Amino acid sequence: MASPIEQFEIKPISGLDFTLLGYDISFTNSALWMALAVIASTLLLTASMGRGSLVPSRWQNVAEMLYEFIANMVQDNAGQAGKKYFPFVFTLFMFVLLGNLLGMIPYSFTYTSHIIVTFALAMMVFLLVTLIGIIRHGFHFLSFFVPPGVPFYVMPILVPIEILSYLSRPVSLSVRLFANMMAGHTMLKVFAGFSVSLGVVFGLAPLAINVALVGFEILVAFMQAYVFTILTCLYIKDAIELH
Amino acid sequence: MNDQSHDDKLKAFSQKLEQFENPSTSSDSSETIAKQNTLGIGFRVGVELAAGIAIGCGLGLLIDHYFDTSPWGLIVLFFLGSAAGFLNVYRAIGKMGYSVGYKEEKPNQPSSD
Repeated sequence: MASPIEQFEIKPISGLDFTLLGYDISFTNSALWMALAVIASTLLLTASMGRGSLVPSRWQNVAEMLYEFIANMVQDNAGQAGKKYFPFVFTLFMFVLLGNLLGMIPYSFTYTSHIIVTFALAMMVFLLVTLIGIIRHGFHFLSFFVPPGVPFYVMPILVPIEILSYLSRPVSLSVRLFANMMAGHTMLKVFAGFSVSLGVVFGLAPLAINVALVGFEILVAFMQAYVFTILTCLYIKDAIELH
Repeated sequence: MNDQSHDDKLKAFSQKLEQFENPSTSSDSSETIAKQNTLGIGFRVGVELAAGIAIGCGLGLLIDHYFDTSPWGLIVLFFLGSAAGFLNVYRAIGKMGYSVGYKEEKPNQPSSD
């Protein structure tokens, strides 16, 4: 019986395993699905909008809905000044969403179930937010870590806590996405394994659960992409406004 | 279709149009987070708490490694990290929208809708 975590194994695609200066830079299954996600989202957003008809076709409707969903999210959560960062937020959303959804295709690979991928995304958000804060506010950005109206003798404790809390953002952002995706896919595989080992008659019960779980996983795929994006918006707002 | 309902429709449409052109900026972002299901909240709280402690311990070990202060860096930063974790949880739950830093109380803005 295949192990439930075998699906997360990264393998180079045969014929595409290269090394450069001693580093392994093979084109792996993870890279393949990332590339597919980029191609799919680009196709979805360009090809479907190609004609840009006033009465949208189904695909155009999908593209418009996604665009408006994120545009409104940025507007509501990051404010007017945050609109500048819409392209970044939208790209991030599409990459995470398609990673989660393409992972639901049987035999595919879910790159968002790897902590290094989600951590890289979260680190990107973290660095961008910090840069926005420093560029917009300069030295004043450090006041971010100094709560207003606190007596000075509490500062030595409170400021490190605030800094640690700030530093823990990328960790919680990435772990949330990664853990949700990995747990969901492992669960699917475990129940599928039950179905196989219990045979045709008794295997129907885990199969029924699996059907429900697939639906649940698709919900989780949307939810986690949504949460990841909305938190990015909130962080951008923080950096812009500095309370 | 009589004139009355036509007028009403027109009015509703112009209202919608106005809303679209001047979207209210008063909508509270933290509400959307508070509206999620309990499982999501539970999971989030766990992650927030663990993230704070993990960052504290990691940083403590790093400091110990580079400044040869073992075990004091780990001890101090473990407690500070735990406090940061609790702070994260408090912010996530307390409708403060995950933000680092204290928010000063804002008077409720009158919402336009």
